[in-house]
Amino acid sequence: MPSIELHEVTKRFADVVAINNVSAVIDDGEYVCVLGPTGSGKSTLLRLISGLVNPDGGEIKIDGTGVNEIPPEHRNTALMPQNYALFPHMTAWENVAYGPTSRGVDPGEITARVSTLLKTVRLQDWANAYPSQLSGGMQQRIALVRSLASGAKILLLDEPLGALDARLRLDLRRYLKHFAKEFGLTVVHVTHDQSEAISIADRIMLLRHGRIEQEGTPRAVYFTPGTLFAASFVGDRVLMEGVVRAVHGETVTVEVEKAGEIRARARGLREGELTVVAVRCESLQLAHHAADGLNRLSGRVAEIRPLGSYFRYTVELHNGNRVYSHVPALNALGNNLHVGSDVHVCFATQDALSYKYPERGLAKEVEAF
Amino acid sequence: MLSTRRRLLGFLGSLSSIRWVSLSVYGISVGYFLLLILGPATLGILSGLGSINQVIGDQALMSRALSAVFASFVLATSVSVLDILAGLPLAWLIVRKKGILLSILDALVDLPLVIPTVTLGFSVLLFWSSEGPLGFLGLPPLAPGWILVVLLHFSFSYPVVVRVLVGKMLELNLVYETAARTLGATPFTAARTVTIPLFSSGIVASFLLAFARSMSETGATIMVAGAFENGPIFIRNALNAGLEGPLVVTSIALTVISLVVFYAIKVLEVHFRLPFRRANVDLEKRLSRGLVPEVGAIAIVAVLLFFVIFPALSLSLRYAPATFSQQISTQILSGSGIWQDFWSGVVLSYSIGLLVTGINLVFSIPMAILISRGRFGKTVSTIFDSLSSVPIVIPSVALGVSMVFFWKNLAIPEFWLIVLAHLSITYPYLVATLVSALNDIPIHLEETARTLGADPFTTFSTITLPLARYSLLSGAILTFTRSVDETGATLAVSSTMQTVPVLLVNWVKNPFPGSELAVGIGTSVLLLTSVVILLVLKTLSREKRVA
Repeated sequence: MPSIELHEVTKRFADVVAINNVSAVIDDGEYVCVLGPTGSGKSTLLRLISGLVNPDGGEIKIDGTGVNEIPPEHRNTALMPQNYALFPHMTAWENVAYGPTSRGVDPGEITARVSTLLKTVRLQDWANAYPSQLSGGMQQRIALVRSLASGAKILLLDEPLGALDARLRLDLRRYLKHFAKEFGLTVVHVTHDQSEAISIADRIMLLRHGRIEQEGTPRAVYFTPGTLFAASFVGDRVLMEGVVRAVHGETVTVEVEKAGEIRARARGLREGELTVVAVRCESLQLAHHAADGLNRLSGRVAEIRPLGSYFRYTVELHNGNRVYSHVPALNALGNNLHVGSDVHVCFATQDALSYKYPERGLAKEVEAF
Repeated sequence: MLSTRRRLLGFLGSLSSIRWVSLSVYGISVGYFLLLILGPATLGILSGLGSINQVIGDQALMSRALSAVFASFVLATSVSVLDILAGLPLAWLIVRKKGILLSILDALVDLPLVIPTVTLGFSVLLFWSSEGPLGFLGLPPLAPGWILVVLLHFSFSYPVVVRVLVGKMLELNLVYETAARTLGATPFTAARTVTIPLFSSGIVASFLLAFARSMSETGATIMVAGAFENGPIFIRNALNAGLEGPLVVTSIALTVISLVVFYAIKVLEVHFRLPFRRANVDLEKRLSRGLVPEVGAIAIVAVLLFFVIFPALSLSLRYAPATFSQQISTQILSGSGIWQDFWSGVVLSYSIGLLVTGINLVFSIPMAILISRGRFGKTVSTIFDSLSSVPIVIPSVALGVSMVFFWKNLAIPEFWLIVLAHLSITYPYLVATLVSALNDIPIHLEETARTLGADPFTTFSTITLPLARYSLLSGAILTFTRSVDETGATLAVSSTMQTVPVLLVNWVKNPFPGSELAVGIGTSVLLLTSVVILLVLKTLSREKRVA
């Protein structure tokens, strides 16, 4: 049975349309990441599902029942806001016990539930600490089990990892997913971090200006973004402007000014049209000699930065544009490229996606600085 | 017992989830405000609109009215500014520097609030007369006039400001101030750049309360005004001369001015930034170093003692020793003679005070939530926010007259008439403190509680109320003390019943042998009782302080 359904839901705040005619279905036990830039309506979506705000139009259903008129406390959807909202005047124990106490659960049952949950997140020794005495990670875990203790089967997480340090963030990504599956939860997890969404989600919903731009498995969203915006937002990509010179079925030949011609996948583009070609940085290979069957642009290495498991090479093309290639660290160590080396940037046609040039300009469309 | 309570709370909680129930709770609190608070306070005055020709037609009376209104405005503004300037450091001292001495100061601050205004005027007059410290120093006494009026207004509005500021500061997280300190700010700079801006809402709330109190106070001002005439005194003088027109004109003018000031300050609050210009950090460094803080603290305490506490207490202090004489203390305790009236007055005053505090707490909380959480939109909030302050800006003497007029045809028992008058006068204090406290509670805490399964009532009682309890207590103290010491309006509505302030006024007005002594002693007894009540309240509320 589907857990959460949105039918043409719209929410306005004064003149701003925060959620614009959104329809979506989130299945029972599914882990959905809602991804999008700031102001795309992500948090509003969570507040609509939890009942903190009511839609101006459309209907929300939970477990098949319309909930538009149902107040938050009867929806069984625990919301965990960005800063966790632990109650500062209550201990960790009291915070976790808050939900079941409010719902009138039997005191013995509450004690059992809270102590079990505190043990699962290994915070049983901190039961009597106040939130101000807990670290960020601890607070996050308390907020998590507090949501669970309330009996909610739907967990709404608003940037749950946003306030944590990088290392902890990676650990907790895995933990969150594991936690959700272990307790059979349906999770809607809001984030602006695409790598977080890709690594956790069963399904990603990319939100923009209050609409769903694209949805699908992380793999689909990552490898075949449906729009230029999706391509620029998910994954590190190089964007190149050019003109369509020829159309051959599913592929096109694009002339990139002063840099040569390349082949890319495209649908619905016509000859002579302006286009933007997007290629993931890790699909750009660097070579002294070009291999056959690949697209090739020439340039010079401008900068090399080791970033852990891969190196980021900045290559300045002959037309003055810069592209970035992510090279696995092992390959980078043996490729004999230095700053100043002449190099070919190569990539397969199937890794290059060509989109219609946006009417309002490239920078505006991808919301770059 | 416990399970009965749980069941009751559960029942209230499930009720609060029902939309029409919560709507009607708001509806009732709005109705309560309009019918019992605002209506009686204003309609009586408005119904006298016909009499304004008395003033408009009379050039001399008109110019008197104008200068009286102007005097009220200047007086209220300057006193409130002084209050804030002197109140901030004291509030900071009380909250941040703990210690027995400061606890005592904290309790002392409330004293002027429980002294009936008429006796307060009397006491201030006495303090600055040749029998006070001025005489002791060989200086000429202060004659009744504007200087004494300023001193008097300072002494009764300062406690209000400190009470509200302390309540707000207790709810303020120390972490921001500490952060500022580690970033290199001296204590003085940290206070100015971080602490003070963070509770600008508290400053605004207390400024407005002080302003309103000064605009409307009548009973005590009369005692020290001399030839000085501000709005309320003008009204009183005109009433004595049998003219009603000045009451209508002046009340309306004062109310309009106050509302404009309130609104302007609320708008400015958003853009309010200290410093107005680049601050002199070096100066602040010097101010934070060495003996300066200690000297500053001593100066502030001296201001409190010499301009507030001693003037307010001089009457009691003077006659307190007499209380211990065998004969008099027997008389007082046995309640014989005039003391019988006194004790029944005490019982009456405190019963009314408790009743008024209780009733107003119940009805003003939904109103405060409505205003601060914008339940029915921003405009509705702003309107109610402004309207709720109306009863304290109307001169108390005019308010009393308005009340009598409003209720006179309804044959309301006198006791309830007094209660109604006090409800009107105290309501704004409670709403103002509650609104400013609610504004400081992050709304996401309440929202999260809701999604965890807490209905609106449970959310309120487990999250909102505990987080706002210092302010709630401040509001309750202000309400209670204001009711116990209320004189002007009570005089207007009562005929046979005598609350303690009314009794003391009667003693002052109709002197008998030893009446001055009796007034002094009466005030002392009232003070002592109130102090005990306040201390108990405070201890109770501080018992469970969160780490």
